Amino acid sequence: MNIFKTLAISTGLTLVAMTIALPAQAQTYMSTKLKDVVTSGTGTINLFSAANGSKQPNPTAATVEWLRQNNGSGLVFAVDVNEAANGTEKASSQGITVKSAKVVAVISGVTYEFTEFSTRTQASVAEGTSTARSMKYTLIGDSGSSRITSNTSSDIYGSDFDATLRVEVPQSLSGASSVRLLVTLMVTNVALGDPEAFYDYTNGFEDVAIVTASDAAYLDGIQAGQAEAPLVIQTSAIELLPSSTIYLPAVDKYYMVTYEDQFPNPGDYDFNDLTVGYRVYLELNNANKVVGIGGVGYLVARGGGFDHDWFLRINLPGSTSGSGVLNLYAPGSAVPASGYPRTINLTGPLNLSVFEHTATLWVDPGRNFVNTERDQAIIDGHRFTFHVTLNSPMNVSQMPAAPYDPYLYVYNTKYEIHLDGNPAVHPLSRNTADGLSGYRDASNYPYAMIMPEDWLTPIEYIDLGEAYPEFVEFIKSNGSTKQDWYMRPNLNAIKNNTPDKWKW
Amino acid sequence: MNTLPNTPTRVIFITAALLALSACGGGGGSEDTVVIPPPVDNECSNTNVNSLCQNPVPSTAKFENFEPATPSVPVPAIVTNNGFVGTRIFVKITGSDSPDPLTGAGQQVLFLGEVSPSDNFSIPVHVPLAETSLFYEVFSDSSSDDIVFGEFLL
Repeated sequence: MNIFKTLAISTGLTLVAMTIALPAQAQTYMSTKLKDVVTSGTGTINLFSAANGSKQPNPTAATVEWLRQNNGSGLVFAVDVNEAANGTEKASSQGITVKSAKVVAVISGVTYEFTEFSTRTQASVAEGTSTARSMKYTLIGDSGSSRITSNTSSDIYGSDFDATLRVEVPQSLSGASSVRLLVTLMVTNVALGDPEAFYDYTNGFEDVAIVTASDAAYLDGIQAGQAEAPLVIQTSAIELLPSSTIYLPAVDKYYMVTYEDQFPNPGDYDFNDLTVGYRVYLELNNANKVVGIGGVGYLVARGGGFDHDWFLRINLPGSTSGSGVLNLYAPGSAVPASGYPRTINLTGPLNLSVFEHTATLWVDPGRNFVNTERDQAIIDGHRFTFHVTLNSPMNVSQMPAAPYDPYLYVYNTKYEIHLDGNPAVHPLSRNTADGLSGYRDASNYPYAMIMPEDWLTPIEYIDLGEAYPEFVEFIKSNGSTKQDWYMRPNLNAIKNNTPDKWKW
Repeated sequence: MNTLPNTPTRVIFITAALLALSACGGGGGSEDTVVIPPPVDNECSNTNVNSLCQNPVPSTAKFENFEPATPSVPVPAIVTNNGFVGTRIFVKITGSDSPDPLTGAGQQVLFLGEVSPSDNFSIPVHVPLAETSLFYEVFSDSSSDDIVFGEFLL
């Protein structure tokens, strides 16, 4: 064989081998959780030091340079937003404001600083004690989630990293002897309430990882915690997502709907056969039209032995269409229950079957009821969330009025129980066949009522009027006196299941 | 081990237990079995003067604890009169509870978001009957613009 040909073949084989090897070489650089963290609002993160327990070795200059190129001349960091769940922040939605972020690299003895940074979300917030707000970059996340990325070797896989922070680095870092990320979080004027209260930081530390473009895209795509965060303004002009939200009844207040499930027979008036706390939010676009509908809720008490399904119905116009998801979480779990999320294909009214077979779904072992007996310890209930994106923006005036139509279908009796004024809609119910179009008993009391969040459920068998001595006066005055009757209960007659206990 | 007493005491015990369960919402049952609750004696045995069963109400009685409201914020006038320089205008509408000065918690936000600077802004909200006023803030994306506060009386 001609020696030149041999060389050429050999070289060709080598090139082929190198070509094949290159992707394998590239795949060795993966997202890496870093050892340093952001704590008490500041962080100096050494990019060459992987966290204990990281699946990856310590990054090198070559690693960082590859990641810089992989992210289009920038370094992207994942942050695990880890805030105290107080105020409007909660496990499912937490936020911080980034005051500054920069990458400092030492290359051949020269220090370079790259100070142009961005995140995917912004809010107009006031710093310190100022009452002037301006746009700042924010990071939003949730707690306890387990991210499922395509590559199990990535440190993002199985983690609870939330959002990304990008620093533009137009210069090669291949010769760097040191590369650090310096982050400062903003002290916001929490005395103003939201959005500052939400986007403040506590002393909790935030983990940081340096990530690949694909992991960054994954984290950006899941938008962790954003649905429940206030004033989320997407940084990308391409994403024309809503930045305005109507909260019903309020951002952190819930409607308490409670039932007597003996319909049509009289009940015992303890109004605790099923109690659910729920709230709804409407997302508006810049033309103040509704583009999304979401909600959150919890099982609060189950003081009836009957088996129910609890529905939330929003009587949208027949022309409404959209799609979304319904999630259900077992008490304390950040992971959706088996079978969830469920897809919502919306056509006309939204009718969500939220809590199904309550008698078996939510049980306090050894007890007939949950959170209603006098000597019973309070336990967490299931949580639900839903979100629907409408196909066409809708005028706010086309929305039905809150609190919408939260209703019960009782398996044992095959009756459904709604708030006054709502029709029977369940296909298996016998209300219509039995000629029952209303939901009042012989004394004209309803079988379902909406209470403010401050209302606490009566203890089992205790009449609502006995638990709240001003209630009857409130009703008999047609709502003109004792309007805050629920603030003065007979403390011996109510279960002290306050919102801070059932909102988890 | 069976811990229930023997018949006929057991029958009485079970019957009593079922009645007790029924009175507070039934004793369970399968999806296929329709159990109509036994008629309950309409005579009120609760002697508490505030109990519902002692106090029938008229059929016109209302049970709403919330009422609708439609606050309107004069955004263009506020932007003009206060010389706003920001290009993006935001409105916050809240209940009467003030935020905790240390944590910011406790304030009930009914609306928060970006609005058009050229139109008055109004939205439907749903507030507890006991609420007597709502508050608004108008602010911008510029740190040169102070927050403008206002109040609606309900």
